[in-house]
Amino acid sequence: MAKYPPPEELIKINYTTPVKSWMDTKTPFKTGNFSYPGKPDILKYLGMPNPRVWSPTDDDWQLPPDWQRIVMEKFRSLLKKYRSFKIFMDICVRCGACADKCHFFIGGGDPKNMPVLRAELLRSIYRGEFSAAAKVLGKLAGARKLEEDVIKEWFLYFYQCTECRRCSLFCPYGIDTAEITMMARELLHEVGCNINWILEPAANCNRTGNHLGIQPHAYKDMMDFLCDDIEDITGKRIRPNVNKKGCEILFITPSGDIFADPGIYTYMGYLILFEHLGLDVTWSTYASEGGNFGLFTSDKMMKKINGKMYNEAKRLGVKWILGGECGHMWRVINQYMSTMNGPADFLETPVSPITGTKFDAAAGTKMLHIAEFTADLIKNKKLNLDPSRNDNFISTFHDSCNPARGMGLLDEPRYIMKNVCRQFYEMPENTIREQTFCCGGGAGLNNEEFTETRLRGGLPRGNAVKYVRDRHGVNNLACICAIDRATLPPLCDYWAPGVGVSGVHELVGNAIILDGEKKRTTDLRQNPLPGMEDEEE
Amino acid sequence: MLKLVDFLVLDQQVVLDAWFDLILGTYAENTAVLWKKRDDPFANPVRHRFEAGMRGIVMGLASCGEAPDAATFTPFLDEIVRVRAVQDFTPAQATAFIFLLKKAVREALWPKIVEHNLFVQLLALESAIDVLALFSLDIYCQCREKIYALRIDQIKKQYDRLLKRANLVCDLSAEGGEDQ
Repeated sequence: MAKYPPPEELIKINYTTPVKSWMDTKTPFKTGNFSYPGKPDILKYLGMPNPRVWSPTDDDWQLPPDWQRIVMEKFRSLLKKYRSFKIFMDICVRCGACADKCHFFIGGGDPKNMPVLRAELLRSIYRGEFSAAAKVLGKLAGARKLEEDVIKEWFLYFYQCTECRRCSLFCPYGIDTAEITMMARELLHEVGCNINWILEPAANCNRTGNHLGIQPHAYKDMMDFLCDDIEDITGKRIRPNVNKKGCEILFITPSGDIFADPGIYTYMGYLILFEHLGLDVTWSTYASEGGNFGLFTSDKMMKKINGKMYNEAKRLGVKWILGGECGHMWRVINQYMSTMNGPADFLETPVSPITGTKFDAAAGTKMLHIAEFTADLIKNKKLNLDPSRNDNFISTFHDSCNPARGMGLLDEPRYIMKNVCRQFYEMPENTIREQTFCCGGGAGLNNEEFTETRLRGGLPRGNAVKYVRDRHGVNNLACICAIDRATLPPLCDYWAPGVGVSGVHELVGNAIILDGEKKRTTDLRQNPLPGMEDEEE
Repeated sequence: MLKLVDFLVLDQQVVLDAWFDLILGTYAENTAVLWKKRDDPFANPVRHRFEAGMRGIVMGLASCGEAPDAATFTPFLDEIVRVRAVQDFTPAQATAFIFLLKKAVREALWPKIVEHNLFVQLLALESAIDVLALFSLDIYCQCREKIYALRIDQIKKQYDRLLKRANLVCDLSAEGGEDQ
């Protein structure tokens, strides 16, 4: 009989021996735990260094011959440019408050996913190369030399961080771990170690205005397609303005919502809302992307992609910008835009043409979040709503990381939800609002090859969804981010089967009663409305 | 006279603690420390799911007789296997946790087994645990198949509408589907 090791041996339980130091633990690459590298033609298009065909599972990563000098020079220049980075490198006292706050650690248990240790991957090099004392003391002072294995380790773990900033919330010093990840990724760019899911969208956005590279006529075509669906459902033909000069408002939302299920229903929700209000608004095929994959690439790319929206606002001569349900667009707007491309003085502080409310919080950026805009409309009773049309949904709300932690948008979406749905239940307190758990797909990690690791990181969110599903019968997880709409459906399917995902404005679109609309028998997904199951169509 | 399953119920906490320690021994030391410490079900879902699953399994074994049935045990095993299926384990490593229950039972109940001469019942219990290992294998495979299905779905959803609009694919089920 074949000899097979007993189970304890098989799972290598080690009862006595201390574990190896993290510095001596080699980085394991296997299908499912990394994203595919940037393609050479994309790198060339973006003018980024060391374009080549390679895979993280290769032994030789084909780094440039003097890669150590290149990385250290960049490290030095980043420390000089960002005082925050230098402070974040110096002040961590390793108190451990962040250790068990990262969703990838909570779900997977890899210690290098503890934010403190992930940052230590960078700090150890900082000490080893920039601190004289630590240079001498070496490992005793937590310092080490920059070797090729370090680059591999950085690539794996800094592309296993979604920059969601949940850990930062618990840091007593306020260290922004997302910014540490950004710096690490900038260092990796210098030697050509990056992922295609970020760079290709960034390149596309740069060239055609959105991530998938949809050209203007195709974008318009998709829009008409959705208007056809709206006409089928409501009997009303909507003719949205596209690239029209002289409108009061420019509306910008993620392009993911115009072609991907279930984002398209949120897109239809916007169209219905604007029609209902008779809003003087235009869409743009040039600024057809709210998402800013430059945020995950470099400050230069972020600035350029953000600038595109403001250039378009200028070209079209609008007064202010209304922004849709998007995640990192809002982090860029709220935290970086003002010092990057702002102040946008050629625009006006947003004023709702329907209620007259002036949104002073958006005075710097001149860009207003649609949740604030809609909540204000509801508060002023300007929407004709029939929430019973959403009675098939028992909803909860997932706070998307960037609007929640990046701009403090917590109550407006909930206020809308409670007015357009009659059944709404919150998930547990330590999984929502500022403490919300990431979907696992932020910062460019929503690609299909990363699914397994994303599901691992999705456990804390999935666990909270399962709880409200079992307790209250929740069957719909609403959110205000296009990446959420792409990544939460599989997450729910794995951890809390039976729960679907929608945008908030999809539910708004269901509830709005348009003037002169026909009797609706289906919701925007063309599923029968409650009590209409037997109606024709 | 008390049977082995009675001791399993009476001393369930001792068995569960021993089993939990053994399972956490399959993770990195720092991780095990944190996961043992924190008991909020939402801050530490792994521990929460494991404990719920483990308790269900032990209670189920106490009442299932000699032939455990899949319907009873699958939900409890699922709590654990579904997590380990996405945690970088090999299939054997992911499902071997169930055998650690044997070790935990022997460690925790050995004096009682000797005192009351329950060796035959212990063999029966261990055979039942072997059956649970087979159930676990089924669940593991379902989880992995699910992951691959989700990957394929994601690709389809991303490009589906665009391909249709570009007339590169046709949807025969749609009303008035465009024949090509």
